[in-house]
Amino acid sequence: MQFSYLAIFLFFIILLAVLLIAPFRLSLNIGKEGALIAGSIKLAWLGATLMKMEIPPQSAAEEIRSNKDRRAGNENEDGKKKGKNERKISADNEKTGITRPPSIQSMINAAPALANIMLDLLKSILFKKFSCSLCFGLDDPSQTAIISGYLWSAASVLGLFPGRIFIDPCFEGERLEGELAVEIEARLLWAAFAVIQALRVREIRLLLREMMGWA
Amino acid sequence: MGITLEDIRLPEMDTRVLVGKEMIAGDRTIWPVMRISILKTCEDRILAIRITPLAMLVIEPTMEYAISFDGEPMTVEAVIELAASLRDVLEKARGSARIRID
Repeated sequence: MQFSYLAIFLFFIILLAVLLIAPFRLSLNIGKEGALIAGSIKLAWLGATLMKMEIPPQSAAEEIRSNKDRRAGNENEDGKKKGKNERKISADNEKTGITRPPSIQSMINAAPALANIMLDLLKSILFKKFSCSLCFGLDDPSQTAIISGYLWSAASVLGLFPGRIFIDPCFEGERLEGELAVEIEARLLWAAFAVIQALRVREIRLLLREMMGWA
Repeated sequence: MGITLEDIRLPEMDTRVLVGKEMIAGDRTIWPVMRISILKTCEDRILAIRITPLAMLVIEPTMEYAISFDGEPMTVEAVIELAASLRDVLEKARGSARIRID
């Protein structure tokens, strides 16, 4: 009997360890050529695809138009559902647990600790691949030259991915084309570690209590 | 397997003379002409960009003239020779200023 409990316990420990150590891999590919935008997003874990989303080739104008239509539709619906929404907001708050925004003072107090958490979280992210090529042009060639100088300076100062960022100024008129391919690997171990570290800081605990309405 | 002289690529300078965006001051339109020099590495990465203003073409309803930034007098033909795309601009301006008699 005791052996089976031990086996279940060990199984959960191993499962938790795998969950924390095995990296999640997020791949993002997006490109714009002419007026067409296309791309894909993929999230994989242990070789299995958890989520895959394809962005079919569509023109930027179409995308803007569909967004506008969606927004207009939402605004119409908003008018009708206003009464319903007011009731829903309180239900959503109950669901997320956040009852009110924190005070500025608590935010300021917690800022250094939050910065440390962000750094810890960044440690868990590993850029496996980063390539960006951008071809752009503004209506004024001098502005194109100035902006491209700024972009190259920023890319050099960052210095994180030398040789993988390519910016090509186009002086022949207004143009924006490019490709972005990013592959990120993240382990939950560091994220969990960052959360635990955060909960050990008094300012963060106070901030959370305030947000939950317990303070 | 040594590196031969053909394998070595030196940074190259790409120089273009371009016409900037027009500036309108009342009835007057000013077209700046500039030289953009781009210093590129052998991998086509940009090392430096230099913008040098060269001249400007000023178009008024009754006349057009060129001003050189080196202080020397400049003719309209000379500025068009510098930046050929200004020819279309000038012809368009002359066309709009022309009075049509049917």
